[in-house]
Amino acid sequence: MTIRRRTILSRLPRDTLALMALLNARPGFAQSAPTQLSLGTYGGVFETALNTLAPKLKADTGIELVKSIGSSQIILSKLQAGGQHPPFEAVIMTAEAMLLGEQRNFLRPVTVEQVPGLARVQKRLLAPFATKGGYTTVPTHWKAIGILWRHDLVPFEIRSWLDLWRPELRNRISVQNMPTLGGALMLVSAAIVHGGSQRNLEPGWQAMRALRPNIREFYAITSNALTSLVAGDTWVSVNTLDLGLPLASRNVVATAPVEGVGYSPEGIGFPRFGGNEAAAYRFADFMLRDDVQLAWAQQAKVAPSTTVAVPPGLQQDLVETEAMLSRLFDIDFLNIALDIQKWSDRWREEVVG
Amino acid sequence: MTRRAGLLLLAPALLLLLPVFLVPLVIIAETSIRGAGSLDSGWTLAAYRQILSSRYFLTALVRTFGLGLSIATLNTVLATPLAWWLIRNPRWKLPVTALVAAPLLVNVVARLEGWQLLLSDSGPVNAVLSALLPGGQPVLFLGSTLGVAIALLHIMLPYVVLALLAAMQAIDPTVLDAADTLARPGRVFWTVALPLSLPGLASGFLLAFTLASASFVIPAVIGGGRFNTFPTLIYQDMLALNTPRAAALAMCLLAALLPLAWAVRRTRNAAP
Repeated sequence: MTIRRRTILSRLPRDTLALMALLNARPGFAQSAPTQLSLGTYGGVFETALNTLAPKLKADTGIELVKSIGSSQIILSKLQAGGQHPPFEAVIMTAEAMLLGEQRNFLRPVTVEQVPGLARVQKRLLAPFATKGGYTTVPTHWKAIGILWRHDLVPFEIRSWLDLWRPELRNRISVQNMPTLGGALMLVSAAIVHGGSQRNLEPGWQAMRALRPNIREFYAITSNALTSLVAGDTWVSVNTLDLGLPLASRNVVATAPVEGVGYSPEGIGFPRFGGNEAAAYRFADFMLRDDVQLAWAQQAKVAPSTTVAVPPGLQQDLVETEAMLSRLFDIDFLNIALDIQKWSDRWREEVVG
Repeated sequence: MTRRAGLLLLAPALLLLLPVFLVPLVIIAETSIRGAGSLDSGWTLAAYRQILSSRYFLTALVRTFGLGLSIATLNTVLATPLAWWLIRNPRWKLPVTALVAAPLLVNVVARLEGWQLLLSDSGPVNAVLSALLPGGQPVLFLGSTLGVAIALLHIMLPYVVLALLAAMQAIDPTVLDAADTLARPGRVFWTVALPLSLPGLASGFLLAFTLASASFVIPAVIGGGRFNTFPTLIYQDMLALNTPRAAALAMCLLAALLPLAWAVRRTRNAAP
């Protein structure tokens, strides 16, 4: 057989990718021993919370987590690059990343038989993940997205999304940039409060163009938005509401607007060729246990996804309540996942400028 | 040195460059002409067509270059007299060089947070400005080109100063001594020291230009997401899993930077 130089060169990128995927899927990591579970997850408070829960997880289920930290997009990129040898056996990602992963066939659905705890998850949070043959995700927690604002700087009380458009807030607002779920939720919320919907986004686009003079910062990292808010460069931030509670002493108020709130349900997904399935399901079921849900909520500062009763001591650290579940905007996360590339291009040109 | 010995000396660096630079470069080039970002899709130039036909991307490319050129030029203007002064005042060389190089020892995140607080509306810079110009509005550094430029100037300055210092130190002192006997210090600088430092000046300029053009964190954070350059657009496309266009943007940036690198290299080689 003759191997020509051109053949080798043309195959080099593909072969290298395949080799990298194989290396990533080395035995002992992706195909780990039954007691180990390779988990792709985001870092920060979530990693700390997982570390805190680790001894209980090992004692109760025999599972030891081997964590790989990254954003939902990075985890998804790795699943894409890994193909039939994904580097993870379970992943923790945001809703739209989960649904995009399922759409692209990187994730497999899960049923109540496989993870019995799913029966205890709030219906409102489970609904976005319903798919043929079960659910895309085991929701473990959720976050409400609303308005954080400085009561010492904003010259009126913010109660409504529409307050963001008031001229007093010129150059004083931060919103999350596209392409992130936060940016997409801002667009959808703008559409809803201006007479549109997620299916009819034009009023939202028009409203975002009108909001442009008021936006000072399109943040990529939440901590930067909070730094600007505390420093007084911005007076208002469309953000995760729970993040505002520890800043109460810095004059920050967390408001769930009267029209309703955006939300981000997050949880555990299962890569299609991830293997180690029994351990992955055991881990997901463990995360839905009442005691673990409360510990997770306390450590990660997020609301439990199940119907567990939250004690008053913990509830004071959380904005999300059972009542708030009925005030969530109707969000089609799959639509966000599928259209976010397109929205992102339009956002850059029309909103950021 | 024999050719074989030369190759042996080169081998470690080449072995490192091949997997960490050349192979990824080939993968990026390949990704940029791949269809929908999957290994099984066909080849297409769609991502390049999209970039080259979009006014937004072309404006962002000009912005990226403009930023790189202005930072490199301003840094060169700031660094040249400083380096020359240090050469003429050797006892200050160590402390001042350490002071200039100090930012390189600070973690980039800490540096960024520092700049955010310093340049904030209620920060010390605005406090000084309002003391000097009472009644004026605070200058909006964050989320503006000015803020990005200040942070980049600060970060790139050590590279240019160190490159220039190395070049000026390499000038034969007897040449400068001879020049000193014939002309005033200013003339010595313009006619002797500066031409002889051109290779270092070119290196420093090129370094500042490429680092500023490829900078991501500062435009993204200090620019408040309003100052989109090619690196920030690459990041956004990666987040949206639009890997072919992210790769095509990276290749365009590389292609745009190469001619300038070549021109500067020629200047350096042409120096006396």
